[in-house]
Amino acid sequence: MTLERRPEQEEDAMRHILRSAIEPPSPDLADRVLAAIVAQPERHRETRQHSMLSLVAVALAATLVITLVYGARLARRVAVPGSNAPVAGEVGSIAPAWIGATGVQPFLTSGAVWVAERRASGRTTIYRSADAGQSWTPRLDYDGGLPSQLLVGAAGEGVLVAGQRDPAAAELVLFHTSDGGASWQRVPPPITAQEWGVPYFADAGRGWVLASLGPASAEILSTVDGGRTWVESSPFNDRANFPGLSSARLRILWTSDGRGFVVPPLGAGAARAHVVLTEDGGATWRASFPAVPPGQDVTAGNAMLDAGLRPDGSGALFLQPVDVQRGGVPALFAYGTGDAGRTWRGPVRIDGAMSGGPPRALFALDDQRWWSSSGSGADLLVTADGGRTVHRHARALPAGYVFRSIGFSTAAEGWAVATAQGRTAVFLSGDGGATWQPLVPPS
Amino acid sequence: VQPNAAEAHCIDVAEASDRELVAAARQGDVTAFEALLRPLIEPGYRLAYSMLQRREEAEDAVQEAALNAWRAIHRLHEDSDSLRPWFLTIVLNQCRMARRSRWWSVVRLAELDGQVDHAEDRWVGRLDLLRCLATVSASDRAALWLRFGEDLSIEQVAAVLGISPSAAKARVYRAAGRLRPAMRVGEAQP
Repeated sequence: MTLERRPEQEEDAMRHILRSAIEPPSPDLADRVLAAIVAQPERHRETRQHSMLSLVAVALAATLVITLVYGARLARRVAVPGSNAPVAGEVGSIAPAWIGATGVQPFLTSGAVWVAERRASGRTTIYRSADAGQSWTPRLDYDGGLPSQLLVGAAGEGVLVAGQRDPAAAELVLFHTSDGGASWQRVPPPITAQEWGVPYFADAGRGWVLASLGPASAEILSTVDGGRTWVESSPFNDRANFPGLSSARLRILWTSDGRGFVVPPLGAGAARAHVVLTEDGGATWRASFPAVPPGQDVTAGNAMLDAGLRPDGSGALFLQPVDVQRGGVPALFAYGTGDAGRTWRGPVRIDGAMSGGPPRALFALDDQRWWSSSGSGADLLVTADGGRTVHRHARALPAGYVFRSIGFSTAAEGWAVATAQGRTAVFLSGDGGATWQPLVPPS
Repeated sequence: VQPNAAEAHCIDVAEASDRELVAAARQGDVTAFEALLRPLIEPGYRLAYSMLQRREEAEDAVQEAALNAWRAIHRLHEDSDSLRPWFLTIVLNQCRMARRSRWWSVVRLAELDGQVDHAEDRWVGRLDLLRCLATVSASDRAALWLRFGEDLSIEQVAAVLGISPSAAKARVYRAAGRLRPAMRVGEAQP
């Protein structure tokens, strides 16, 4: 039976099948949602006095907890940017939770640790610490999601690519600093666009963004001064290499000289797993096909891809083939590149199937140094030679915690967001991920 | 600017037209917004479920989308006479954000068999369908659901997805093609 021969009957069957596949919602879903709406303006009507009293109470409670539980550990913090006490210490069994945050995202820059904290109100606050998290200073507060990038150069110029405040709006939410992050200024959109993609910066100055101007019309804009000025680089109307993908939703990774690639999402076409790359600032695009892992039936329809790219073009591509028939992810493979995805080395098999737990936390610093969570999510795999040798740090976090995301600014210094029984904690490592120290949230 | 319900002009929601309710909601009338939103929560949930394939995540997505819609209600065009396409677009984008977290799809696919086992009575005979659905991209599933689950026209599907009608049609038919094997299995069963 085909849609062409019996369209009405088949459409009825489709309706029946789709509706039967939807699990009914909780009976009180509508009431819960509406109650949350009604509670919103009430929270905003809280008096200033009430807020101040709450603030003082929270501050006192936090100070008490920090003093009793973590005071002894503060003198044994790991070597991270801005730390004057580079001594690794033993990790305790409970890490301080980021209560009240709906999401946290750490960043490491030269001499500072940053944490973005998003709250239920929809606002995000950026905190900076110059002493490895012993004290925090709020540096920016905005209405929007967690940042995808925070970069500060040696001269104090920097950018912060914020999450969009309204997912339906697809705005450009970008901030610039000229004083090392002490103050941030919102960058106005350089042109009128229907939708903005998420900007990507190779460094604190050089960046690109995709602007959708209307149906089948988009442009790539580039900047060399951290987003203060932009030039229209190339039209972007390539539908052949991006079938069915909204141009503004593509995340393009760039080098500092205008090479870059897109990692298509799962299910984008039936061809071999591939990336789509440009070597001329986005004027032309073509597919690049890494070798299929031996013995694996991998296509673009069943391969989960993720990648990291450095400004010089070195980077890595991670691939996990999804077993659609039996469910699960049989293995993790990685490829290295030294030419921004034109050619790929490998694949190298990094790990077998995950034994439950959360999605893998993955990070590639360059084409040689990669990190991946493993086991139930509590172990960490590290390679410094492109996967020829892989070292496992078993249960690197306190008992019960599993990695949600990780990142490294150097081979030694990195951050991790981890959870245990719904509690979110942030950790820093100064030894390449062998040991982790919890960050105490701002009080 | 957050809508301020305390300063809003309130109207009789039972008597007001949708256009009047939209106008009042844009001015911060939470009662008007509730009246508009309540009938959209279940369609929003079903759309979220079609993308996320898990009840808890779908309910979270709808709740977050509702809060985002309330925060952004002043941006809804003043000539709008319905919240429906705008709200479904917000739900869709909330689901996209949920799926952007790394390897999200891998976990969901890995759990599919388990879901079937745990709810055997409800899902018996649906394993092939679920497997086929799992091979359809989330955005194509959303297009399919909007077209056949919510009975929207291709033009309405395109408006919610923010794509051209021809692209929406292509998505719907591509996804339908992937489900054909499961439909044949369903027909073969008594």
